[in-house]
Amino acid sequence: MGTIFGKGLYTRKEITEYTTITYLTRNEIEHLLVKFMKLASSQIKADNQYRVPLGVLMEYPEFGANPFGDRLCKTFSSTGDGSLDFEDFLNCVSTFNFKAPMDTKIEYIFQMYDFDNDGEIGDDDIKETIRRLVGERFEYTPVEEICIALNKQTDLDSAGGISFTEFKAACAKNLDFQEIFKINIF
Amino acid sequence: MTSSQTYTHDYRERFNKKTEKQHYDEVKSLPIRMKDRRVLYGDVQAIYDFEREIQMQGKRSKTIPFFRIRLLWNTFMYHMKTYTMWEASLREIEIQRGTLTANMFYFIKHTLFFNLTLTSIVLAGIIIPHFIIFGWRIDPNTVCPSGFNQSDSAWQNMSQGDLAECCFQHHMTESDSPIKNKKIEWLIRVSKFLGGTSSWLSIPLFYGYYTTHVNSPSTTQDLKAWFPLFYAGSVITVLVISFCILIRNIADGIKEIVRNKDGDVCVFSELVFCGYHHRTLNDKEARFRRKLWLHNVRVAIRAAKAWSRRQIITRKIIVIRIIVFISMAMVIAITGFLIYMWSNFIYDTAETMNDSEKPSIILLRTAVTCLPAIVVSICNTVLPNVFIKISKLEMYTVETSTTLVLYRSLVVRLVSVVLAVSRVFYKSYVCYRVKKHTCTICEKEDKKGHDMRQPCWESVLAREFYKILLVELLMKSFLTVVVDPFRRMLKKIFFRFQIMRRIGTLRFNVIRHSIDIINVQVLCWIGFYFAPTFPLVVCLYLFVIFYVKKFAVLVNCIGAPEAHRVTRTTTIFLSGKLVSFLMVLTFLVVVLGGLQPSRGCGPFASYDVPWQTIDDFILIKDPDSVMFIVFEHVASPSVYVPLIFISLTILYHFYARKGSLSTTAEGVKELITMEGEDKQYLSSRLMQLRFVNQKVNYYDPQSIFDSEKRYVSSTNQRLDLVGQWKDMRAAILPFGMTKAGVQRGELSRKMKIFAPQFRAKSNTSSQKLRQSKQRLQSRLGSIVRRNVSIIELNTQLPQSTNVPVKTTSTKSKTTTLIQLVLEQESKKSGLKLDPNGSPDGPKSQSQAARANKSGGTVSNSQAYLTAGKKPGAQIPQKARSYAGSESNKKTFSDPKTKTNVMPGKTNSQSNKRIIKDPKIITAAVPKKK
Repeated sequence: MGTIFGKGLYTRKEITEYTTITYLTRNEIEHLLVKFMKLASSQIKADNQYRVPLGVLMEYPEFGANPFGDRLCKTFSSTGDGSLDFEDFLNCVSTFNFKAPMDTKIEYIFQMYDFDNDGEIGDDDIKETIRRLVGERFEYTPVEEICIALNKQTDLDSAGGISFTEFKAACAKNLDFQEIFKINIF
Repeated sequence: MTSSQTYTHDYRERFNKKTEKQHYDEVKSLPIRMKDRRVLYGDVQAIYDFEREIQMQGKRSKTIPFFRIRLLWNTFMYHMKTYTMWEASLREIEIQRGTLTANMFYFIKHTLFFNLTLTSIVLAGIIIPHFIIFGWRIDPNTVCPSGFNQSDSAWQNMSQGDLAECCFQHHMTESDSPIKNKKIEWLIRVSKFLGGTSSWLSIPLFYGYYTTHVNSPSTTQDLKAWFPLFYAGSVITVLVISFCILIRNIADGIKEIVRNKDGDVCVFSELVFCGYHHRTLNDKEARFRRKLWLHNVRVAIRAAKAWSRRQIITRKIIVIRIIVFISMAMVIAITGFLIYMWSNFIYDTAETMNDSEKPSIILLRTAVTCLPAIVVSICNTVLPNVFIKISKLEMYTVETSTTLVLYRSLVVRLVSVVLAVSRVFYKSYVCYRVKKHTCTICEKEDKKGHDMRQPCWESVLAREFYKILLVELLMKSFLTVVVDPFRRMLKKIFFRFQIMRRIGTLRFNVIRHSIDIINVQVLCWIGFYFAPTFPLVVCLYLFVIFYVKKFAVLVNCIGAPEAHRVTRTTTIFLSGKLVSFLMVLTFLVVVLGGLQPSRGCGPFASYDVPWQTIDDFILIKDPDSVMFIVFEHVASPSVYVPLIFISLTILYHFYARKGSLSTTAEGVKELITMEGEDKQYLSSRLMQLRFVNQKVNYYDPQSIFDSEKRYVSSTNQRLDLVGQWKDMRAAILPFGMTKAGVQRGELSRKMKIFAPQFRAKSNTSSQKLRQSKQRLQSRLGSIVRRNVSIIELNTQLPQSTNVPVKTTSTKSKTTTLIQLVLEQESKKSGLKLDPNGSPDGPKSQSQAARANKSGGTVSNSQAYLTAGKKPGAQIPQKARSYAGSESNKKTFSDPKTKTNVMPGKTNSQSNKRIIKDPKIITAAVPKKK
């Protein structure tokens, strides 16, 4: 039988594959599996490709506290409905690793902020982002002013809406980018 | 032979470990689903499997057998690797009180580690060698030949080393008066330790303990002579290393400044898109982050509004600044004078107290000896507050006022410490030089008639430093633990009264607390020569003060998270540290090169000046060389010391210049890349529009020619326009000229296939990795966002107009120029994007065609990808309607509609023009039923 990874769910070959494909080490993947198993242990033991639904995923601490938790799940879900299996979950954590390059991250983050899937971040998307960031105090925030200022700074061709390249250019100027988009593993 | 060699070379170059890793990196960095990634991984692996079979034996890494144990071990090792001191506290502070306050605590941590390095140097250079060479303790009665009396002239032939030993014995035995009152023995011991003679100070904390014993019965005879050199060497090492560390940190700070300058541009995008830290663990933290975020937004909006407003420097402000400056100088001078008078007065009164052993008098004496230290620490807590309050009057910017406050309080600190200690110094040092062949008798009497130097005056000075540190720690903790909670309580009880509210409201001032830390560092630098364990004590002090300040910030003070933009306070503080270090350096140079060490104790007991040890070390080597003559005749401390000082400053100058230059170069590089990205974006947009123009006016070459003229005419040289046009046509039509009766739908489909390739050509990235990534992306087909942008085909005809474009010599204007062209272009060619116009049919066909060519595994992935993603999500459909009319919806890209309705103006223009090629005319004229 050989050495079996992760309580017999994955074989040795698969784990080496995961370590080469993702930005995670073997230890980290093992730890993540243990953490992920807590959500639905019996189902995952029966079938390692079990898709944990969106409602259950919100019990995972990083997703639950995150105002963009459901958006994260939806962008990384391979079926598009917000449910993740372990592979999708690994993809998510690997993308938000500090080793991952900025371009890869930005691809996903742009999708995350693009709430209406129209290929650019319009004023409605910005408002939704701010609403999620602020929470209950949305009424007291100067949303319009932020929208105007943001469009002034990032919308380079003044065509309305922030396209992907503009978004990328704006994010590239933030030096704390890698520090902010990071998910804890341990 | 040669051919086979080249072949193997190529082979290895193509498939080695490096390229394998590169390929896997590419697979990693692609933004695709995990399953596709695994398919790609399988592809890449299949290539390298053959290679691996030949070259590598099946090597397997060893693993710990049991899963649970391995998990525990891995977690433990991870924590060992990533452990950081005070992580939880720092995190808590950062969450509750913001980054700037947390930076202050990081500063404490940094200073702590800095002092730990100093401690390790001192341990390795002084304390451990002394312990190895001379042992733990030496009986003073064994080292000196018997019958020594310092006023006796019979001992004049004694060697310097023996004299030092006898002085040591004299000092240890004679001045020690026995304790009569046995009941309060401990109290007397403490009071004598705090204010008595120096023989009480012969413990490892003080200078006097580290004495060179020539006559001690130790086994390591050779090392005895080397110990003074160890001492001097470690003192110099500490100075040099702290100098280097300081300058390196300052060089790091310059980068921060560059970044802050640039960062003002994108505050809002940072706030909105990078507003949430995704590593936040629980709801409580998230709530605090929200609060902080709202505050930051308000600050940013206020700053954006105030950007245009500028402060006008009036005459009134200048007068106020001058008055404040003069009054501050007066305050500092008066404080120094008062401290000096006060310590004078106190020591005079302490001298007059008799040596009785009543507990009350002993306690009083002890308290009196601690008074100067108390006054110093009161000054240092009160005056910075005053400076901060007054600096608001001056109306400087935040950075300037911070710098001013910092330097003023540093000056107060240095002046107060030096004056408080100088009284003790004058009292114990008394005269310039001691008579030869004596221990403590002076050459000349001073004005008051004293002629005896106190034995081991260095230890007495060191005691003063310890006292100041101890009193400061006690007072700080007393203020934060007792007084501030009391003030808060007052506010709670008498909330109605405004005065009480004002008294009870405490705010955590970062500047004041940072100044405290710098002061401690300065004290450490002054004191470590006189007390080798002083850095260690400072470390303990910092460890305690961290928790005291944490208590202050979390419990006592009101939480007001400060502005988003962190000012460059750290750099200001570091430069303040450097300035104070240079002041301390001059002080230590005087001590090392000018003052006579006490003859009874210390490593330099047998020398006139500590610097002589280094002279001796140089001369010991070869007395007949030229070096000897030079050092004999030319060199003296008065030559060495300035030389070293000057060379250090030159070193600093070059180091700082190098560091600043390299960091600014990095900053400029970053700026260039950022600007480059902007330009790249704009130019790609321009290319897009040009491409659209060419697409739309495809059947009218003259109009393309006209519209392309302006790009060509920007250069001075006259170009071969016809040749260019031919080239361009070849680029647009890779499949040759069109034939008569070509269906439009087919043509546009071919265009669509060609579109991503054309865009890939226009990309100007030079990185190899990106190129190979693009190759992979083209393999993957339509999954990557960038390759899917065919909507531009469904556009209206742009009006071909000649926009006069002038050549601009400066680079900075190019972006604005391109922007201008873009604006005009987008206005004139009213882009109308039809969401239904981009058909899925032909695209999926083309994908299938490509997939059939490229093999089984890829075709699987392709099929999955096309099935997995919705077409609506993939293709960025521009919801916004541009300045175009609604009527021009029909486009020629739709294969079903065979009619092409050209919009009015351009259609008429194109009809007017003489078109030479009859084939194109047949294609261009719409069929009418």
